[in-house]
Amino acid sequence: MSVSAKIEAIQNLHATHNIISTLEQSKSSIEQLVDEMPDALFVFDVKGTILKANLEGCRLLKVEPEYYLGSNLAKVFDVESANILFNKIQLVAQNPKSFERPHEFELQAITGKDESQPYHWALRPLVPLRYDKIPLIVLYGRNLVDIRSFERELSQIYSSIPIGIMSVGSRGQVEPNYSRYCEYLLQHGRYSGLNNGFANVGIVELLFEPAFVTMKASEIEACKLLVRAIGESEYWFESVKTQFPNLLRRRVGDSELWLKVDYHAVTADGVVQKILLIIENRTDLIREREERNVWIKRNESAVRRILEIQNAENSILQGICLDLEALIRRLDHALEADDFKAFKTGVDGVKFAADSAGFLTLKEMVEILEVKLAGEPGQELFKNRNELAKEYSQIRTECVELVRIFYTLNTDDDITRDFQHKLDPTLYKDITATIDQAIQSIQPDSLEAARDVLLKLRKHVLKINYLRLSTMEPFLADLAKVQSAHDRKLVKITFDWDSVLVPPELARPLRDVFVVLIEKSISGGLETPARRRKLGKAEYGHIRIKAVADDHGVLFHLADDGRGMSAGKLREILKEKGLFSDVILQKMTDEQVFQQVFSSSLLHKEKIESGPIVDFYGLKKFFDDYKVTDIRLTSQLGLGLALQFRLKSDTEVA
Amino acid sequence: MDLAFHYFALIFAARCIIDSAARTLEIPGSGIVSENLQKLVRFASLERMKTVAHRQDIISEELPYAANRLTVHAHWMAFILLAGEGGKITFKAHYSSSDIQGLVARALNKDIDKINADLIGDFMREYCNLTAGVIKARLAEVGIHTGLSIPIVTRGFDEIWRMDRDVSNEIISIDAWHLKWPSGSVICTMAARADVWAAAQDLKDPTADNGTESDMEFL
Repeated sequence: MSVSAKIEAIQNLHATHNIISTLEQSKSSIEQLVDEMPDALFVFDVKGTILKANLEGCRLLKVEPEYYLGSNLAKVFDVESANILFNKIQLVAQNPKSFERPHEFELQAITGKDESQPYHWALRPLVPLRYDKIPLIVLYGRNLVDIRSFERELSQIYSSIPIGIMSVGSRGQVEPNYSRYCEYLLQHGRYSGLNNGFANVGIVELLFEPAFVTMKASEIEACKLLVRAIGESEYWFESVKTQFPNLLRRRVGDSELWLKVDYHAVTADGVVQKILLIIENRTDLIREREERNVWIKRNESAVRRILEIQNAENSILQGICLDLEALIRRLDHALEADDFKAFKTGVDGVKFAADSAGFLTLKEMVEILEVKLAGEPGQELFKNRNELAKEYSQIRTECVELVRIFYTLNTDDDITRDFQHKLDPTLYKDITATIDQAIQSIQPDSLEAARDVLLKLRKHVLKINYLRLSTMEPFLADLAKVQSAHDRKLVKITFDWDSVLVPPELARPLRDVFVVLIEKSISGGLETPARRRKLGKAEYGHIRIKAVADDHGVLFHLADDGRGMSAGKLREILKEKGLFSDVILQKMTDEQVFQQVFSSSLLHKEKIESGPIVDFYGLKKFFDDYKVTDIRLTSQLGLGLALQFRLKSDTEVA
Repeated sequence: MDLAFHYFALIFAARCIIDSAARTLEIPGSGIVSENLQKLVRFASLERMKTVAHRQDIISEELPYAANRLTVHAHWMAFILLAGEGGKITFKAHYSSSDIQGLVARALNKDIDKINADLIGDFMREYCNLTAGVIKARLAEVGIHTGLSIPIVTRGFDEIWRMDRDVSNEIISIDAWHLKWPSGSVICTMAARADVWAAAQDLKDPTADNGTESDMEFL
């Protein structure tokens, strides 16, 4: 070889060395990139023997960088996953050319620390380099731990926010990925608890139908528009969106649920593809708002009533209030007895009282009722008795509130306004005498006597706070006057209870008892003056009220000289009610029959409204509640009726 | 993942360049590989390892090896080519970083933590160079003149290309052995074109030769 040829060979060799060095560096860089790519990479033969594992794969699977070399791929998976994987490997190995696109799947991988991690794998043959020779396969793995964790967090957020989110697809059906809170909000008898939940359920059936009963016809039609909007233009959706119901009232069990619904179109190329629904529970908010409105209304009403009372002339107010109380009693009774005539008269009375006092709201309410009463001829009205009762109950509330506010504003004329505290001179004398007696009785051998004296003293002292029955005479006299004027009768009422005292808590019920008795006596017992003249009686019917106090309490007695009560008729009533058989009734004396009015269940009612005593049912309840004794009802037809009863004194030591 | 395909494509291109360079060599008539050549390469690999690693407890062992089976011996591979008019020999050392790291630390008297991948690569390149140098010198003694390529460090995975190439170039003599020491090992392989190495039969048994050893040391 010539020198020049040798030099050329050396130069060629040198050049070759240089380019190999360059290629080595280049290859090393590529190797580094492969090592550091964010996914795991394995190259293995068809038996699964790993020939290459990149560094990132080793790091993700928590092993040393060269750990997997020569190992079988089964080391990376559990048995089941490895079986699935090898099945796929066989498919790839048998026909590598058919895998132009990687075969992708998810399988759990086992790390070097025996942890199971989710991976997304892509499997493909090592083409185009080797597919016609010894088959090698490449497996790329993307670690899904962070993605799954993020998905879980997102899912938790999605599930835990107290808002229902769902989308409605092309056929108006709920799409599967809705927030779990929807299932709480839209509890549905048919679909709740199913595996699929609300997926593919029609939105109209699921969301709107349970609220149809509370919706207007136009709103129900708008619900159907919602389904039609899918596939329509975005513009069309926006134009009809305002018609969709945005507040739904649904019944869930015994309670009500108010749902606020927002509608958002998901569009593509200006066409609505689906509708996103955001559903919020507004029940608490709406309840609070309602309660607040009621509160405001009530307060507004209270203010209005106070102003009306203050504007009225004070001198007549007390009389008006008494009239209103009496009228309410009469109206209650008329409604109960379906006495249309009496009801209408009572309504007229209320209107007159309201007009006199300047209670404009009450007057307006009565006038509205009057129109309705006039619009229905007579008895026909009572076919719709419930509606009438509802109308009347507003008037009744207004009257009761006006009277209550009046008495509250005029504290001197409170509930006990008909009574007055005044230490009785006799009582005073008794107390002082008893104290003197007590002082004298305290001797070494007279403990028993001292005890008796002290008990007596206690009884007297308790009586200091008692009220005199006589102080309610003006009220009862007024009442008798109003009632007799109403019934066009002449009445004289006399009281005989000057020195009788009663505990303060009994004052109001006792007054009501006598109100009922006097009203009944005037309206049902005493005859009209003309009739009385015909019967040879005095024009004025006479009602006598008497009370006598003794050591065992107070014995009350009320009598009138009216038409009395027929024992025969009472027998019929008792028989009709099924309380006694005909045989037993015939065996009873008249006196025994009268006794049955309060001793039998004739006047027993399951549900008696609380409040003032307005009728004989209330009277019976009063007798029962206060364990009234010595009840005796007597009557002689044409000569009158008498009732007596005894209220026990509570001055005994318990 | 496309990155991986670029990677394989680049390897494929590199292999073609090497192949085309090899084909320029003259290939004489057939023959059988010299047993002494086999002994020479094994001897050279062991002795040079002892030299660069500064340890005498390294031993050579047989490695059960099926030449026709696809095997990636280790994560890393350093190799060098001896080529000349008479033929060519490829010497490869397959190793894992952790095995060599200890050797380098000991040779350089440094903490093992301070031995990075570059130092390990340099160490193995030098080892290949020294081993090939011994082989070249011994071959020259019997009139076989060869040239040395530069040593290259690459991934052990590249061994998968070996079979294709060996088959295509009819390199049919392949030897593999294990160099072991208490804390690690290296797998060495040699591929020689058997028919061209008949001349190597004149080689003396290198293990019987107590001649001068190279005083060359790593770095």
